[in-house]
Amino acid sequence: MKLRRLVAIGMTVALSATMFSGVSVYADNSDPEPFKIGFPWDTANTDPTWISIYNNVKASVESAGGELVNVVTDNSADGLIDNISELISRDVDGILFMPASDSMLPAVDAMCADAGVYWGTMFRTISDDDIREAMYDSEWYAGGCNEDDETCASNIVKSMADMGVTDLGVINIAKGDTSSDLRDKGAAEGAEEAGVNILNTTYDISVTTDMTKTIESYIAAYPEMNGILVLGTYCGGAIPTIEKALADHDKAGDIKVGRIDFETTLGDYLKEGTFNVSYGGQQQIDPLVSAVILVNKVIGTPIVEEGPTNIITPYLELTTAEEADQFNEYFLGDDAVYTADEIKDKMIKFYNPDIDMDYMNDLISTFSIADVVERHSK
Amino acid sequence: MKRFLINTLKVIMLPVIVYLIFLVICFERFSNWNCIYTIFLQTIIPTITAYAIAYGNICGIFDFTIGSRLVISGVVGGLLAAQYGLAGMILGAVLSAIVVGIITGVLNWWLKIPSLVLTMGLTMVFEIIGSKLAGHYGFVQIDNKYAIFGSSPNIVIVFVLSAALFYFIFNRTVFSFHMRAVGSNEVVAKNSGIKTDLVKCKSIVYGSVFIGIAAILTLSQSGSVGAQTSLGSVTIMFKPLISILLALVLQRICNLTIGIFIAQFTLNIIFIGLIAAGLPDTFQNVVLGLFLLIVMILFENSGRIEELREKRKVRQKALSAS
Repeated sequence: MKLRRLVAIGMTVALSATMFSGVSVYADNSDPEPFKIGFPWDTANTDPTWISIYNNVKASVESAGGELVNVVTDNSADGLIDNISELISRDVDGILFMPASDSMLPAVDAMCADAGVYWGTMFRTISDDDIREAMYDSEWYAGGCNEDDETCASNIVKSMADMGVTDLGVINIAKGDTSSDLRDKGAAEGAEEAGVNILNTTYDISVTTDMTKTIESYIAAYPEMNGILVLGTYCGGAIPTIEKALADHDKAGDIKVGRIDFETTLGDYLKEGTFNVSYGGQQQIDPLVSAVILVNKVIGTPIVEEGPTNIITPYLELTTAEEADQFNEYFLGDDAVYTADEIKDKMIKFYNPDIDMDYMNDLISTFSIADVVERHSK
Repeated sequence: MKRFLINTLKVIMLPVIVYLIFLVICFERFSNWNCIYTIFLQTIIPTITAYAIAYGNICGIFDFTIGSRLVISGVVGGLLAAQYGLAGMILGAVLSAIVVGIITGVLNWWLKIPSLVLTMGLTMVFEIIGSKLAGHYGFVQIDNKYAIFGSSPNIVIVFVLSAALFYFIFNRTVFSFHMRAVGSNEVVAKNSGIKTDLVKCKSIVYGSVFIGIAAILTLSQSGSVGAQTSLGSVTIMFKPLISILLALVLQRICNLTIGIFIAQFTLNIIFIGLIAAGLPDTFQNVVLGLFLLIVMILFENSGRIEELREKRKVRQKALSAS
């Protein structure tokens, strides 16, 4: 009898212990371990697009309970290498950045491998075959997002050709930048297919005076020019400056204007009919999903089990003033295009085991200006 | 008089030769009046910016803040244009340029650190101030009705008045002689009783007036001024600086006021010429760099070339005599 009582007590204690251990295990698994993601970004820049990129990355990291560690960068290859070194010394678990070139990536991978830190990229693909192969083999490369810059540039040239453009003056970001080169290549392909003559391309304009000068030079040197395409620029207020230069020469409306990457003033000129087409919107979804890829890897639930996760985010097309206003309100406001709660439910595999590549691609295919308005309109 | 005419001809030959080269390369695109007129109009803002740089440069100050001060001035002018119209734009741009110039000049005076280091640091500070003032969108746009100085004839009138002001200060004031003395040898100038620090401070403040004018013209011509960060504003002063270097070389045969304009005009001919020739943008910097080197080598070594010619003449005479 005594023995049975002892066994009963023993079993009760064991069951209780198991129950408590179960609670403990559940508590441990309800949220991922705390983690830190390093993010070199120019947070001093007040351009709303740059601010929105930071906000979207922050929402992704915080959705899984992480902390975003920022260092200010000039986004040059040398600067980024220094930034990554600094972030490693600050004990981060993952680093997300926008590569300035393919050639910097092996150095980044070596630094991260030594420190046991995962890294991911945003906005850029790896063009160099050898470097891509080496990076894809690295266990520390989480992957990233990029856009099909080449196709986008080709499509916008063809769109402009449909509007009657035959001779095109082009502006682009600095040569050597992966996106710039791909956009150049795509524009050349689109021009060849549509029979458009690319008159000249000017690179790396960063101030409005240089933008005015370039447009006026195009007008003076190429009287036949009937289209201007901004494949990319870091010049603030690029479109108003171009429109002003065209208006001063009585060419506004006569010369069609197109731009890759949305900016805040497009709505006004779409209303006036002096601006014609823009592809963009990727500047918010790309960093958000890139950060999601890295976060999933860091917390131990990668979207793809073997190798890096690479997702191509789509370009959205902006053709009406209403869409431009909605873009300014919902993409460039204080909120990310998916809130931290939405990201947690839809994109963090720790909370949603259904997530895989197909799931992510399906989710991103529904992303549009209307989609963001519907989710976030109050 | 004869010497003056010869020198004038020499100065004018510089842009004429460059223009003729591009006329040969792309006659159809370059042989129209609109092209020359555009080059002229495009020369005005960088020339006035160069006037702003010149005073400090002559004093031996290397000033990185020019671009960032121009941005602050343009942004303040743009913001005040929205509140107080044209008067707000003009006063806002000029006064803010002078205020920021005084801060730069006084800090250069008091802190006694190399101007290169000081202005590099101040540029970063001014860029952030410009960004904050520019607000959420990072640039300030003005209503087209206030952009009256952006097109001819107003821009030309402003340019002529600016050139006259620069000429007067540079040639007809005691300050200009002090400035040259400080730039030539600061220690000697100090021993001669010149308050060298005050002269340097004044050179920055006087230059600020031209920054204000350049900011007004930039606002008027581009319709907007964008904030710059990460030393992006420094690019604003590169081409004006090249024109000053060329003008200092040309100074032996023409006044600096004209020299800066001629140098900037020539640089713009090269810029549009290369675009018209369909050459890639990257090639422009190579050509600009080479052009600067060639002109400087030719002018700086003109004495040696003359000497070699003389020697050859003497040698030939000696040979023919023997």
